[in-house]
Amino acid sequence: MLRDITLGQYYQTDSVIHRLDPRVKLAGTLVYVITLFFYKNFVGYALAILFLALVIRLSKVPFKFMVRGMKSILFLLMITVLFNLFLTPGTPVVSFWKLHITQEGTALAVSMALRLTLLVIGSSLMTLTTTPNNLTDGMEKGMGFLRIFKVPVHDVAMMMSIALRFIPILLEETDKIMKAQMARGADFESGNLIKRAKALVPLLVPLFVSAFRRANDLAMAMEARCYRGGDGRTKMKPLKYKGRDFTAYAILLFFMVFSIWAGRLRLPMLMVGIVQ
Amino acid sequence: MSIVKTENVVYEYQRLDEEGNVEGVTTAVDHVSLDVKEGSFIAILGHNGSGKSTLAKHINAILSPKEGSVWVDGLDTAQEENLWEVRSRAGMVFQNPDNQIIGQVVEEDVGFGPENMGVPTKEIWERVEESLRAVGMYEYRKHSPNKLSGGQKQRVSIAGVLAMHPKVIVLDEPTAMLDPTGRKEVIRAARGLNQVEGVTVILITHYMEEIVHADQVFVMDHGKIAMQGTPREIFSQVERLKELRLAVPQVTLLAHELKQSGIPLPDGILTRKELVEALVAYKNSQK
Amino acid sequence: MPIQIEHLTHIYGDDTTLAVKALDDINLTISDGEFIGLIGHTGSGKSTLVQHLNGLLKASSGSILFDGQNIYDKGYDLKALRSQVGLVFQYPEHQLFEIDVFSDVCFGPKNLGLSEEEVKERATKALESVGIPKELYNQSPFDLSGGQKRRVAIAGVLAMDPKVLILDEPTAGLDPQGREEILDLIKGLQTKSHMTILLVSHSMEDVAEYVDRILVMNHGRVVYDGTPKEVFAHYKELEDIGLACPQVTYVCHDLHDAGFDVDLTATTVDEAKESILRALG
Repeated sequence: MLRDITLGQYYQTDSVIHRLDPRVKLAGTLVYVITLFFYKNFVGYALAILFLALVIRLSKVPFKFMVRGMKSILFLLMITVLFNLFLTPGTPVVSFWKLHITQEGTALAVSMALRLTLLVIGSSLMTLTTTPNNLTDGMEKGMGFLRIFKVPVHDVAMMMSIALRFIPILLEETDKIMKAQMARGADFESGNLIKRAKALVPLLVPLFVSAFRRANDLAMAMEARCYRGGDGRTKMKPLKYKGRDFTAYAILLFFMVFSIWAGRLRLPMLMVGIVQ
Repeated sequence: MSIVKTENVVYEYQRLDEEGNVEGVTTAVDHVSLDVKEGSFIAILGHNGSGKSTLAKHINAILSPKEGSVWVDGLDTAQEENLWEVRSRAGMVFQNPDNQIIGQVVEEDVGFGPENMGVPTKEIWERVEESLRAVGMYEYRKHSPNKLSGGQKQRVSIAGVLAMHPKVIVLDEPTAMLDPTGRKEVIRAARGLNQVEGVTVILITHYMEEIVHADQVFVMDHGKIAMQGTPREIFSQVERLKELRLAVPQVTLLAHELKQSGIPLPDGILTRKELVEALVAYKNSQK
Repeated sequence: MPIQIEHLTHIYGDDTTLAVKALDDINLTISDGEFIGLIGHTGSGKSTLVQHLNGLLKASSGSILFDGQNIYDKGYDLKALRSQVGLVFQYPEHQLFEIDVFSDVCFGPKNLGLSEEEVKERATKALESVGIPKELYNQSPFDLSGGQKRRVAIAGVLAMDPKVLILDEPTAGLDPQGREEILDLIKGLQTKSHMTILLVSHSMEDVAEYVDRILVMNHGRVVYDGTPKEVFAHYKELEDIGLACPQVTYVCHDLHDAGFDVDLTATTVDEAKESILRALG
């Protein structure tokens, strides 16, 4: 049951998007998400959808993998849509009982739904096309400027990559401890909330003990291999920009400027909402 | 030439009570002096809790002796400024295969040590390739460590240490958590390091079958060196080993028992071939 | 309470393209009071098999009859089954969690809903049977030595008062004497407490010394089933599937080839010694 959880949902294939420098993808995702908040008409959204569709096509990742990420936010999406639909004041279109669906509300609900959907699909595209390793490398290098503000960028990246390595191991261990306690008659599935929470103690204590033991072992193994933080370290796979990365940056910049410009034109029929 | 030398090393663990006060001390290593020649294959034996792992951690400067000194390739491990040099000259492989692999891809894990040492990128790749080839794991270089068997993981760990170009490798019970196939793989890799690469190997174990080929064996008990000698000298003392909570391989035990029953066999028989030859020789002499 | 396994098959990842047949049509009967060694290399299916016997894993097809009743029948009480068929996992000390040794051993019987008195009685009995002295009852299990921790964990399963005890590599990571102590303890459970024992192991030498019957698994199937002598007679085939016989078996074969009239079925040091002495006259 626990094995079904997949983290760092990388989709293995060879595409232009896969080969891009992780920094480009990180920056691209960031730019994409930010621009989504600048649009005031549906032309902007149309451009954003078009752009995303194009990138997905280039990435060779089947569309169903994108949708998978949507499942987790379905509830949030529904709430957002309903609230905007019913609670935005303006010209009523449909009314029943005390609720009114307004023109402005509809436009706002649609735009919010689009924003959320594009945001999720856009960022899952990044994780689908970048190995967790590459991603942490990209973050370490791409966020290097944060070091000026005393942010331990290298250490955070190292922590992330270690966490990613140990998640499957700890999941397997959880499964094993659970079974071992079940063999001693433990019951994780029945009873009320309090009873179930209590039933987790025999699972969580050994799991924490094991996690600490592993952390201790790992720290020792790292020190034994001369690890002493990021200073003076060289890289086996250093990140280097290639021609296509600069092209990608240029396309991104163009997309950002153009879609924001188009997305803020005053086109009365296509406006998102007057209240904005 | 000596590559690792310890002189009267003492190490104590403090036992703390619930409030964190010192309740007592356990002497894990008690005045140990040993001298390891460069290029040799050394085995340190001992039951669980005999102090062998604590001693091993001194060679890599993970622990520093409370009394006495440890020198690795002439460097005093207690000197702060020697720390990283000691660790790059004396590599260490630990017991649990899962808890010492840092990379998410085999080759990246092997590159971890050289990266830390500041080796230039191009050279890292060369070292990774040659180390993975030395332990026979080159074709797995792109694999995730999670998908490997225990023996394969330990070989990756050995490659990770080898890529740091150490002069000595300490293997701290590398086979304790493996199945017989995995144990054989790891021991074969360790012997390869010693014979092909010329690295000094210090193997810590309680599996007697693994030390048959060692040049010298030290047996530890209560933090002290209880016995030392060649495998043959050690294995000839079956009763003494039993006292130290150890057991000899079946072949040695059988030879010992036959001898007790009056068959004149040489002491410390190590292999099946030796036993069979000795028995054949005895039978022929009877005629 | 015999266990009958009929046409047991287990497929991992049945609904995906990566389906793996971990168990393939297993048929076995385990009778009362037997001491069985289950051998196979990593991935041969032995751990999967034992997890079926107490209902932790459910078979894809086939059935398991415990005391004549199919455990896959509707309404079958799996919790009761788990108290009858005790399973000690590999490195069982990793599941200890209570503040002291005694409470940890009480966990199993408490889950069975027994009275406090009975729980304590069972825990005491279990701890005594694994040789943990009274002084340690109130200690934290995390402060014990490796060997002691393992015994406490085994006691945790024994306190369920099972009729069948399955142990997955109970000697892993222990030193030679620790291994012998645990194996002697297990043998005692069979002879004194009349439990049926199923010992999962890598070590042919340990198994040959202690068990009455050996099951060898390979690729999810039981390939050999018989007394140690019968099974080790296939020493060449065993090697092909990555398993080695006890060293003495090889010695006897070598001696036989060298013209000695030795017993080829010797599987322990004692048997080999007797046989060689006889051959030498």
